[in-house]
Amino acid sequence: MIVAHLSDLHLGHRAFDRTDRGQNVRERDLAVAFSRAMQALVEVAPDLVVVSGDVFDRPDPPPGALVALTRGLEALHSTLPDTRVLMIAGARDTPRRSEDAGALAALDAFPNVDAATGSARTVVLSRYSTQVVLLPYRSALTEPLPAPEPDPRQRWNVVVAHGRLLRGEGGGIPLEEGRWDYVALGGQHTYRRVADRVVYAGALERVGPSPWDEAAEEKGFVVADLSSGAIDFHPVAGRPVVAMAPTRVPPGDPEALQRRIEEITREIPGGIDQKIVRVRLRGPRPDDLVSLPPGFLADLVDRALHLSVELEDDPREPVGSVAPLRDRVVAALGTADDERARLLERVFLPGGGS
Amino acid sequence: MRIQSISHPSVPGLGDVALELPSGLVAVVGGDGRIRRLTQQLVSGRLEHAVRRTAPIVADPALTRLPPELLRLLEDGGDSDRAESVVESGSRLLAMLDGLDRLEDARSRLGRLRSADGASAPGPAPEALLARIRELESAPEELAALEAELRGLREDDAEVTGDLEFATMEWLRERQDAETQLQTYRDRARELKQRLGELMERGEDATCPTCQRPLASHLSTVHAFLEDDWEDVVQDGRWWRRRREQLELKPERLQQLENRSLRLHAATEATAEKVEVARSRLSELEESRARLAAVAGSSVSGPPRTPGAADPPEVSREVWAEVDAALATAARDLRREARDRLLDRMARILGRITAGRILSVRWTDSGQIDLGGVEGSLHPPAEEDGAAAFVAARLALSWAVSRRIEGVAPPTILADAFDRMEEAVQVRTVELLQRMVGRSFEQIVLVTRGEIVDLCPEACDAILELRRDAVAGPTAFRRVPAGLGVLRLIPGGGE
Repeated sequence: MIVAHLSDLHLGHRAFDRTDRGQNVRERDLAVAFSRAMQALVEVAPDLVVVSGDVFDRPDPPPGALVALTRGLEALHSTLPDTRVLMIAGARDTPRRSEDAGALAALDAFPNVDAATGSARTVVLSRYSTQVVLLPYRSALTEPLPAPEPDPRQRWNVVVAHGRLLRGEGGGIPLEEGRWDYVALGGQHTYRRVADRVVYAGALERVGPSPWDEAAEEKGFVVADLSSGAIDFHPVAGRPVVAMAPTRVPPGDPEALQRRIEEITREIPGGIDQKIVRVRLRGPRPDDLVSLPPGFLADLVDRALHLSVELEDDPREPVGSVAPLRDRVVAALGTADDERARLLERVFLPGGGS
Repeated sequence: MRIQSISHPSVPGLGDVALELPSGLVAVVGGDGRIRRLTQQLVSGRLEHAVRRTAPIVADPALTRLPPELLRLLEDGGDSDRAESVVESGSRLLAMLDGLDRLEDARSRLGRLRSADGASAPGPAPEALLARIRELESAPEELAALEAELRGLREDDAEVTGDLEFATMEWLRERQDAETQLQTYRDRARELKQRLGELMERGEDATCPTCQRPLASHLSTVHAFLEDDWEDVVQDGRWWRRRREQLELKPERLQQLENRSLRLHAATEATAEKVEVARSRLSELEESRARLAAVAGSSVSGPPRTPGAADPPEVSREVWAEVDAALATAARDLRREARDRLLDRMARILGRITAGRILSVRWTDSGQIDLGGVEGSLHPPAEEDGAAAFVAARLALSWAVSRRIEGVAPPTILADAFDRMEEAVQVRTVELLQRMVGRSFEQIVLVTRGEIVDLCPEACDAILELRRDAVAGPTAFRRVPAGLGVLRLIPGGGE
């Protein structure tokens, strides 16, 4: 029994206000990543595909996102007509109002597709003697919480859920470790094997508000062979995201700042063109950035898909420290002879002057 | 510190309200603009008869030195939604935490000592004059800022008035156009109806309207043609009728412009009054300074002090003046440094939430904020950038306070301005707020229309939604699912 596990597709995600032929570039990047994943799935030829939530980036996805999803499903169905696709709604697919099922519910009517959006649902694939428990986002937040149980009559038992996994005693949907053949989790963008057969597949692209936090991670999907217990991660290529380590530049020196930014961006293999780049600087003040030669930053911004220049706090520099009050007044006086010093002593209450 | 609960016996439009607020990022969602404003006032404890319980009851000791209006600024941004107001008052707040109040006390004490020194001198008490001067010292900056604000408001007002006139003309023109079109179609429909009636009545004897010959065998063709024409006229006529009905009421944009124009008029009048008050305060300041100079002069030339009065010792007039000026300079420097710190943090926050589109914030001589981007100044700022600047100023202030007191700042309540920001900026702000919760704040309350909550419900620790239930009863805040659900992996089991 081969299960392909995808998650956090975030189709319809738009960012950085860059368009190409009328479509937001990042929205298209995600559609492309999904399409690549579908092509790779055709080669893997799984018996079952599960998608553990956040299929769309928002409960009211743009039409392009629906088109990307349905095209991918159609491509899969035309090549692997017997492969079932089971999806659950994540936080992003779920409208605030419980009476609204959200756009994902429309996919439930597709051939070979189940899309659970509200409450928990169990699907039995008798052909594979497999029970799959679908736990969408809302089911994990609405009392009474479901208490899924493996079906001993089935050869394989699988859970698909969207949420935060915690260990030990406490609240939440209980999942007994070792009793499930595969637990497919969604809601985290990073691939993580939490336990032997408990896996967050991660997103297909770097889609968080700060994609640089995921720059070093590979993105893709998981293929689990329930018979052998093998769990393999299949990377999917996405747009390059570059997160440079913080670099120190003296404040108030625009020339040094320009030189350093030039050095940093030159050091990036393949350059910055069409990449999502973050440059972190320690030392400069915001005003230093606008003191750079006109057009310098604008040119870099034009070349990259997105360039973010972030000014970080310098951990060596105490923030908010202020000089003692008496010292300030003495400095303002210019001279602190006896006469002035005595008068100052009299006007500052003991202990109140620093 | 966080708000635990709020209750009110009767909020107009909401009725009896009892709210429990957890810590973390709490979104209060729904209602129209008026209700959201009332909710904001309710949460910030500004609504009369509201009972608000906080934990701990007493704020951080460092904050208890602050006057109530500055504490309110920290919590809900004060009475204005302009970033300039937050920076102006926030700088004073930070400077007070750095010791501005102690400098002011020292100046007051100096005035009293000076007064004692010259107690036997005739004329007004220098202590009272010094105290009054201290109160009025910020009048020039206040006046400059208010005048700049008034100029800005008048410019906005002129722009909106122009837009309003244009939009009104456009609406009237479109309505007239729709009316004319509808009338044309009605006339055409009447004509066709009459013609079809004639055809039905006279059959093959009916004549062609062009050549006046009997239609004879062409009757069915002409009849079909006129029927098609009739169908088209009816369809198009219906469309124009709906269009005219739509245009009966003023379009939403026009209504918005009218509302904005009204608000701007009100704000302009209120600011003009404030300018007058600031001008009179400036005059009083100049007068008080002149009087103090006269008093100092008369004190020096007045009768000699009683022999044996050792305290205070003999201090020359110049030294009194120098020390007073040094205290004033130190106070001014504290305020300026606090403002620079605040602007620096604000720029970093803006850089983050706008993904680098806004890079810097500059304080102009006229007390205005000038935002800078990669291609230079963004003046005049777009409305959404103005809102982002206001939110960033609020967050920068709370951040700076939490750093200064080495603890968490009081709860921060964000409302209208947040909803006015761009959607992507809202998402990044929520991500930043999540990171700040626990470090800079214990609680942030976001009173919002709700789009942001739909976009990232997992980011909120709690969502309270306002619902007007026609069946179950009056409007009420209901807790709806938020955050991510918990899946509990329990050890054991296995085959």
